[in-house]
Order: sequence, then structure tokens, then C-alpha cells
Amino acid sequence: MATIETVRTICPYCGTGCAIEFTVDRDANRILEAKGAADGVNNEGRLCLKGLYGWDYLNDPQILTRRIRKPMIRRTKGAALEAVSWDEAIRFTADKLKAIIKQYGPDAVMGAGSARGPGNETAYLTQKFMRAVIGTNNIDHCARICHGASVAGLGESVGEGAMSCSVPEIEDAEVIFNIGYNGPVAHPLVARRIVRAKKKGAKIICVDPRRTETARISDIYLPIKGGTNMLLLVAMAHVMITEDLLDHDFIAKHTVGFEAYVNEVSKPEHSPEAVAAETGLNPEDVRKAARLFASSKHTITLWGMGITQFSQGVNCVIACSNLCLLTGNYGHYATGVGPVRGQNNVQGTCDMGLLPNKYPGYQDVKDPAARQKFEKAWGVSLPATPGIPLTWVPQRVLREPDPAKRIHAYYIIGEDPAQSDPDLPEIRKTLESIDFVAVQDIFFNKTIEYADVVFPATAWGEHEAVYTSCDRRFQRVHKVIEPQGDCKPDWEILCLLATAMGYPMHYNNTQEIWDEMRLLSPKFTGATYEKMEENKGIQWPCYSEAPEDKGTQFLHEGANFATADGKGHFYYHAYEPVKEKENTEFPLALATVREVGHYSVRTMTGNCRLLRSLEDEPGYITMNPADCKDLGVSAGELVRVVSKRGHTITRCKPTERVAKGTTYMTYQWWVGACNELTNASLDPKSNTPEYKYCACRVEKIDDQANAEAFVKDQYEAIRQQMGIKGGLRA
Amino acid sequence: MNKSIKADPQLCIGCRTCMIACVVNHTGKRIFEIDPNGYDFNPRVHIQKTKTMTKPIQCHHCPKPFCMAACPFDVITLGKESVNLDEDRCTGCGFCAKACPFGAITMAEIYHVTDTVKAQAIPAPDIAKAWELEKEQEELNKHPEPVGFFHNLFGDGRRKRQQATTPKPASPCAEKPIPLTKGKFSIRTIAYKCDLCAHTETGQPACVPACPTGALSIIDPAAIAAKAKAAAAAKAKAKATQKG
Repeated sequence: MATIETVRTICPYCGTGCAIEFTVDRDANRILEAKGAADGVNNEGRLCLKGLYGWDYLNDPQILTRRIRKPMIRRTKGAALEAVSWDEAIRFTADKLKAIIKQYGPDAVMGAGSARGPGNETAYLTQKFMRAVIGTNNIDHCARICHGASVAGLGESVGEGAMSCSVPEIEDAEVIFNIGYNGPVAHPLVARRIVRAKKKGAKIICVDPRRTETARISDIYLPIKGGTNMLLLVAMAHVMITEDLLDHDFIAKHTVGFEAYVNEVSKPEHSPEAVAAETGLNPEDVRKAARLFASSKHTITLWGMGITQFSQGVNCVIACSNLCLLTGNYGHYATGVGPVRGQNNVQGTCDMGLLPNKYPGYQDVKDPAARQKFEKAWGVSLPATPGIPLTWVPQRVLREPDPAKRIHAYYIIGEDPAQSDPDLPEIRKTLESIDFVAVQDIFFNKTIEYADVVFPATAWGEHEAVYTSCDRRFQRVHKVIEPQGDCKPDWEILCLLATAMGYPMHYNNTQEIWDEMRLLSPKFTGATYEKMEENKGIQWPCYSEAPEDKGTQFLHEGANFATADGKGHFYYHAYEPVKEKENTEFPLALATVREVGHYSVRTMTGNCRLLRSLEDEPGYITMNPADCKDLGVSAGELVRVVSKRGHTITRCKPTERVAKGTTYMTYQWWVGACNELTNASLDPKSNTPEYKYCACRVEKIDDQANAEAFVKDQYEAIRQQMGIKGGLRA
Repeated sequence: MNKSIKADPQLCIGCRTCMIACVVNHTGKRIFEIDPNGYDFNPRVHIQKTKTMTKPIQCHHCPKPFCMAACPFDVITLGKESVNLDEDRCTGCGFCAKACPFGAITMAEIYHVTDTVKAQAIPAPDIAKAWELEKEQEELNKHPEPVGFFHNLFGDGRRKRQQATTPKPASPCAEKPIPLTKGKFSIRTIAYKCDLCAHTETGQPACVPACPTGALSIIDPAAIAAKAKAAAAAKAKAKATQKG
């Protein structure tokens, strides 16, 4: 008889933080089945397709790529990767890093941490490694390219860059203002709360250029022209002010900057009528939306990448927050803001200080008191200047004239910039030009092509950790099966490397790391492992270790904001158009979006049998049927998509849900990689790229049979490049 | 009365979890252990999206099914509480898929043996007979019923179709299963439709518990009737007590 056990853990996909119960065959070391855990706070026993079937990659079926099982080094640039012992790989890396630091100084090293499988303990050690061992604040992670704008914008506005409400509260909202957020695709279990809220009588305002599932059930749908979020948000504030829909008492008691803000926003040029031509929205609908927003003290504002992935991301986040401040929608149950985080632990990696300007617990690197505390704890002196964001790497490698200021080493944990970052041709050039690239990952990926050293890490399901869900909930993640091959947990790899570099680092388990972090971060001090287990997670802030402090369900209670003065801050920012508009050569607008069954760069979901069966390479570009007709292309046909920066091949998918002149691609595909096309224009404050807008052109391919053969060849070539032997099995 | 699975379009978010749940339950849990290309992905439920609508499409298990009337080979039958399609005997002619007013039957090729689809040698259907039937059906379609859709579905339309398709030829299926070779060649094409997971490991509809938003539910007329009866009885009792 096989030994069958049940393991409760947290899903490795998206920020919802669903609890899963796995049935495991211990003898075969295999998962048999996944079920939603009934006591999961955010999922209540339900799971989406990724939670139910997305663990298959642990079986290493080698569909898209394969697991890394041994440390590897590339002795010279251009040589093949060679499997070596852990000792040799660690020594090789330590020597290379030490030489670069000696020659150019510690700021020549850049670190990118992982917001995915490794979890918070590894995230903490990653920034400790970069700061204490390397000696630089050049540490960042993928929040930069997704919700970086929300962290920065909400920090300015209300002092805390996270969801102020919790996922279950969405269900009890009276009004949901959903802007640039496609919950049904990004977070099915958050979308469950939206549809349930609708059932309970909530009114939904949906702002999206595409007719998403949320738009379909909305009461007011505003099909905005891409890139004009600021015009709409200011117009709504204009309506609230001129029609006096404000919460004067709240504004007087809990906010600052109102007078200056009103003076700007009340100007007639901000009225819905004045901006209608640019936003493409019916002014009366905008007025109705503003009235509906202001009609309740239980209005929840949800946004996603449709706000943040613009070159004016941060200011639009502030503009969203302004609406909540105007109407008193902060500081009590079922209200506030929900910038819903994309990756399972992207909230956590921000919490752990994987940011160039913050220590764990959002303590500023420029704050001498905070710095002294960490210096004392870690026994080193720490740099006082913030590091650079990861989106600056191409510039600091390719266009920095002074060699001493260039990035010479890039330490990448669980990220694949050669797939996920904008303008891939430039990224490839960057990775080629960096002297030393170290990759720590679970799967062979595109970035490994440029790596000088590769460390095999254990995956989610093979180690213990804590993840933070999008609504600030720390949850324990448990080992489900035993890892195969010569893999080590990410934090162990970092310890080995730190020790080899002359900074002895040793922990017996993740709890020791967690406790060190907790005691250095007042906001998280109360979140002990024991309390997380007892309470099905702890939402930060949680200051006290006492069992009574069970964390914080919603932020800013009583409208006491987390800013230095305790107030909510109004800021007005003028609208700035997108950086690259349609033109005669590239007449269509392209935005990158998500595919519900796939996740991030697809190393995980692309290796899950059923998720692959649902959608596979080369993906598709959604277009309006009228545009398809103009080009003479039909559903399923392969088309070439071209932008100023590159080109790719994908399938045409006509749908009336997208407007004429706009196109959408998902970034998971390796053959149909849309980041070959995207624009790396950055938001000046958060340095988040403008994934949501660039100009492109779609070309018909006459020889379809040849194109089909090309796609098949490309897929096969990728698989071989990723080390899969034997080719596609029939 | 038949059971069926009903979707609430307001709760459906179009994520297609139901489609995967369907394939997993019909293939069996071994799907996660076999060659990644060693199974067929033929869901019996499909998410249909139009500009304003998103909903799962699956067999309604009609009390007087069009598909049954259209099947020339008697492969579709009325069970105790469902419309059953005998996949082992299906010839893949596609008449049922054309006849279904909901588009709930999919014609799909099989490349692999599964727990539920047993491999059997299927001689080619009687083409001449099939062609004749198709002509008849086309003729019928040229003269639609004068009344509405539901009349067509449950009323006279069905009888006429049934008359038109009788007498039915005997199913041309061979009785003995033959060994199969896995490969890229299709074994045969068959009609796929929701069987309420009758022939699966669990025997229970897999899509219903898998749906992340709880948009799917099993409609069991017997259970509904029993509930209504109980409610009526309770009401009568309450009335009686009130009077008393």
C-alpha cells in the first residue's frame, strides 16, 4: 500500500494566496491531486485551473523546458555550460564577483531577486547578500516591471504601497471601481469576489479598452482609449468637486493639499466634456461613474497593470487614491484601494526590501537610524545611497560611457529578463555585454543562454517558505515532495556564496531567517511562524508577538494614514500622453496582457500538461474583426507583428471585444514573444516600462504552410536549446 | 426526468477550468504520469464567448433530444436520467452535432486510448445510407417549423425528424476491441458530449466542484421536485398549525 498523505500549502501562482490541499503518494514522491483548502481565507475551498493543475511541472514532463539538476559554469564566454560540483561553482562565482568588486567597486554588481517560488526568507537573504556581502543597494525585482508604480504612488498618497483592503472584503463592497484590471484572467479567485459582490447587489464601474469579463457584468462600462487614464481620473474628480459629491468632513480631518488640488482640478478644461475627444468616453457616462463612486462609503477601487504599466503609472495611482480621499473611501471595512499584485510573492519581495531604496519592512536606506540598525545586526557598514532599478540595467551597460559606472555583474534569482523585460533585442545585447551573469533558477530559460554560472534551486513544492499574498497576508508554504537531483534551496545557495566571499552566513532552517527579519522589521515583528499556522496567515502590520495581535485586516483604520503626518495627501499631476503613438508605418496600438492558464514567463505552466493543452505556442494577437478584414487575415491564421524594435509571429484572433485600431498579446509565448516589440519607455518615478502601449503593424503571411512549419521548427529549436533531448514526442 | 449541468452566466468568468476538469476526469489521474503528448484534449464542455456573453456550453440532456433523432445508428439513447451517447459505437458521422440546437456536441479525433473511450475497430459507415439521410435532413431544414424554437425542440419538429430518420440502419460497429498503437494518426472521429461524468473514476460531474466561482450546478429534477414537495408540505403544516 502506498503511503498517502495530505499537505496544506499555498498556491505558487498569482497574488491571491489560495490555500491548496495536496494528496501525495510518499513512496512514489508524487502529487496525486490538488483541492482547494476549505480554510483558505481568500479562496474558501475553490481553486482556478492553475491551482488545480499547475503543479504538474514538479513531475518535469519536459514540454517547454526542463529542470536544472546540477550546478553549471561557463569557463569562458561562448563556451558551453559545464556541469560541476557545488564547491567549484560557488568558488568560481565568488572569485568572479570579488574580482569585479575589486576592480569597479560594489555598485558594478546588480541583483534581481525572485518574487516567485523561493519566498520571503530567500528574499530577505537576497537583499542581505547584496547589501552586506557585495556592499551595494543595487537590488531589485520584478515589481519594478509590474506594480512598482503602486508601491511608489500609494507611498506618496497614503504612506503604504499595498492593498488597503482584503480580498474577502471585495465581496461586501457596494461599488467596485475596476480600472485597468482584468481579474478574471489575472486572479480568478479575486474575480470570484467581484462576481459574488455583483450577486449581492454591488454596482460595478469597469474602465478598460477591452470588453473584459468584468466589463461584461458591469453597470457602467467606460471603454477608454488606451493611455488616457489620467484624463478620466481627473475628470471624475472634477465631477465630484463641481457637483459637490465630496466628504467634506473626511477631507478636513484626514487630508492635506486639498485646496491646491481643487484649484487645478475644478478648471473647466478637466470636465468630462472637455476630454471626451481624447478619452473616447461619453461625458454623461463619466459623470454617472463619478456619482456612483461617490454614492457609497464602501467603494473599493481595484487596479492592475492597466494603471501601472504606463510611463505615467505612479501619477495615475495617486489619481486613483485621490478619488478615495475625496469621497471618504479609506480606513474602514470594505473600502479603499486594491492594487492587486500579480505574482504569488511580489508583495513579499517588496516587504523584504528587495528594492533599491528600502530595507525590509519598508525602512528607508537613506534613514540613518534604520541603516545603523541593520549595520549593527549584520556587522558591516552599509551604503547610504539607493541603488538602481533593474530597468536601468540596459542603459548602465550599453550607454554608460564611464566603465567604472557600468554594471559588470548581474546576479539573477528566479527571473528571466530575456523573456519578461521590454524590448528583448536590447535586453539580449545587454546580457551579452555584461562581464558576469549568475543565474539561480529551477528551469532552463532564455536568460541561461547568457549565464556564466547556473545554480539549480528547489522549486515551490520542494521547500518551506512564507509567501505574502496581495492583501498583505503572510502564509506558510510547505514542502510537498522531496526535490530530485543536486538542487538546493535558494537561501542555502546564498549562504554558501556569502561564506565563500568572506561573510560567514549560516541558518539551520527558514524559521531562523524569518525570525532575524521579523525582529529587524517592526511592521512584521508579530508575524511568527506559530501565529501564521494558528490564524491561517497573518496580515501585516503586526507589531506584537502577543497572541492577541492577529495583524491588520484593512489599513489606515479611522483614516489614520501611514504617512509621516498621518494624513492622506492630494497631488495633482497633469496628463502626459503615451510615449509611442500609432503612425502610418505602425498604425495599430499594442498592449501586453495575460493568459489565464499561463503564468509569467511560462517556465512553470508551460511544463504542465493540461495548461499547455488549453493554450500553446505561438499564442495569439487579439484584433478587431474590422482590422482583420482590412488585412485579409482570418481566425487562426499566422501573422507577423512588427514594431520599431523587432518582430514576432503569432496567430490572429478576431474578437469584437477589442476596439478597432488596438491589438493585444500575452507575454508568455516564447515563439510569439511580444516583448520583441514592446517599448522600454519608463515611468520617471517608478521606472516601470510602458508595456501597455506601443505602435505596431500586423502583416499577412501568404505562405501559411511554411509559416506553420516555421513555428513548429522554432518550438522544437527552443526545446533543444533548453536541453530537452529527443524532440517533440508524437 | 433528466439531470443536467446549468451555468450561471453572471458568475462565469470564462477561465475554462471546467474544460480541463472534464478532460482530467475522463482520462483518469494517470494523465499526470503519462507521456505529455499521450492523451487527447477533448473537453465535453466549451466556453463560448461573444461580444457580450460568456458561458459554458454543454449537453442539456433534453427530454426529447434532437441528436437522438438525428443519429442514424441508434448510438444516442435516453437513459434513466440522461441522454447517453455510446462512444464505442459512434461512427463519427456528425449528424448529432448538426442537429443539436445548443452546439453542445463536438466532433473530435481520437489519437489515444482513454479510460472511457475504448478502442474499437470501426468500419466505415454506410456512406450511401448516410448521404441519403443527410439529404432528408436538409430537406427538413428547408421547411422550418412555423412556431418558435421551443416548439421545435420539444414539439412536433422532433417527431417529424424521427420519422424521417427511421428505419435506422444497424450500427456497423465491430464487437471485438483491437489493440491500438499510439501515434500521430487518428484512430477515429467521434462525437463528444457531456455524459455527466457517468463513465469516469469519480462518477460525479467534475466541472461543478472545479469551477472557481461556483458558476456551475447540477440540475436534478427529481431532487427539485422532492424539495418543492417538502416545502409545500411544510407550508401546509404551518397553515394548519396557524389555523389550529
